[in-house]
Amino acid sequence: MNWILVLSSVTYALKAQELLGKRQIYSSLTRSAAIRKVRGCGYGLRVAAGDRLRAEQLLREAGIRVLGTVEDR
Amino acid sequence: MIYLDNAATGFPKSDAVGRAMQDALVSCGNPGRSSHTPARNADRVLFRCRELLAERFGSTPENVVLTKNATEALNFAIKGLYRPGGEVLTSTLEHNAVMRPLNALRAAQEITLKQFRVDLTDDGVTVENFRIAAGERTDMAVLTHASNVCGRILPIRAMRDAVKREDLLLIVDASQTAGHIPVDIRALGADVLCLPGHKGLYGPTGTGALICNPERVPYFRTLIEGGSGIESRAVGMPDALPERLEAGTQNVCGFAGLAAALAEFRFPDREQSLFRLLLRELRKKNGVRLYGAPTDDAAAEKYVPVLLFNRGETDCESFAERLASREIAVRAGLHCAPAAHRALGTLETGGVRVSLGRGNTPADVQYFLDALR
Repeated sequence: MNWILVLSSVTYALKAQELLGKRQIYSSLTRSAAIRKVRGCGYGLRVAAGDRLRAEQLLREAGIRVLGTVEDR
Repeated sequence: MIYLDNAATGFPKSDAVGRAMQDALVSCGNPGRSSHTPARNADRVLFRCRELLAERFGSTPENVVLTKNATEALNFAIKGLYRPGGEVLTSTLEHNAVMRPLNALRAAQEITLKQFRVDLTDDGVTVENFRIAAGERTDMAVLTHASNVCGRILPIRAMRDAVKREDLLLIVDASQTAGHIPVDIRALGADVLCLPGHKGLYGPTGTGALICNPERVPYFRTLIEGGSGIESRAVGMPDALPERLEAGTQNVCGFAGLAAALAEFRFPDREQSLFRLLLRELRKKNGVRLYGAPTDDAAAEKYVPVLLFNRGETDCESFAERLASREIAVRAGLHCAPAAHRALGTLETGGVRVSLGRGNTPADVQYFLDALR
C-alpha cells in the first residue's frame, strides 16, 4: 500500500522528492484524484506506507509543509 | 563582429544553451499541469532552473519566480509590494524598468516618490544621502545594483545597514551585476532581487527571475491571473510562490537554455583587466569625453565593465552607426535610463556605451580603440 503526501505545488513536490531521494526514500510525483479532493488540482508524492512517517518528518524538518496525507487506493 | 554591447544582452550564447532549448522543444510539454512524460520533463526543466538560480543568488527554489525579463520581475515586485499611500525611495541612476512602474504608481496617487543622489566617487556620501532620504514614512526602496549607463556599483549592504530599519522593503535591480560580480540576496540584505537571464548569465532572451530572500518572503499582490496548475477551485491565484506570480504556460525552452547557461557558468576572468585597459586608453584619446567613469584603476573595482563616452561633437547615434559599419557593436542614446543620463549631464546629448562581456579579448579592445582614431 502507498500513501500520498499532498504538497502545495509542483515546485515543492520536486524539492521534496529530491530531499527524500537523498535520504533513500523513493517517491513518485502524482496528481491523483485524492489530491484534487484536497486542493482542486495539485501535486503530491507517492511513498510506500512504510516510509510515510519518516518522509513526513523529514519534510517537516526541512520546512516543507505537507498539506495532507491520503491513502492511495 | 566585435561585440561590446553586453549590457544589453550577453552575446554570443554558448552552443549548450542552444542545444538545451532544442531538446526542450522536442521533449517538453506544459509544465505543472499533467502527469505524462512531456509535462514531467517540463516540470524538471523549470525546477532545475530554479535550483541553479537559487544556488547562485542565495535563495531556495520555491522562492525563485521565473519571469520573461528583469523588467517584468521589477513590475511584479514594485506593483505587488508597494503600500498604498506609502513612500518609495529610489536613486538617481535608475533604468526605466524601475522609474516607469514607480512613475505610474505616483501618477495614480498610490505612492509618493523620493530620489537620492548617488555619488560617483564616494560610497560614503551615497550611503549618507540614502540614510537621510529614508524617512520614517519610507516603506520601500528600489535600487539598481549597478548603473546600466556608467557601470557604478551601489553599496547596497552599507545602505541597508545605515538605515537600521528591518521593515524597509528593499528591492534590488541586479540587471547589470548578475553574472559579473557575486550577488547574494542575503548578503545584500535585500528582500527581492530582480534580474535578467540573458545578460551576464548568458541565457536566452525572454528569461529573467524575481528572487526572494528566504528569510523574509513578502506576500505579493498579483498583476496577472490565470491557470497555475494547482488549486484550480480557488477563485484567485495560489498564495504560495512561485506559482502565485506565474500565471499561464511558462517559457520552458527559454528556461532550459538558462539552466544550461547556469550549469556551465563561471565568472569572467578578464573582464576587469580589459575594462581597466579600455579606461586607460580612452583617457589618452583626444576628443573622447567619459561620463561617470572610474577616476583611476583602483576605483574600477566599484564598477561593472560599462563605459559611457562621446567623441567630440559627433552625435552619439551617428558615431555608433559608424562603429557598426566597422563591425563593432555598441549602444548609443539614452539606454532607457533618462534619470541616469540626467545625473551624468548627458540627457540632451546621450552617449555611446561600451559594455564588456566574457567573450571579449584584448584584441577586441584594441580593434575598438583603433577605430576611434
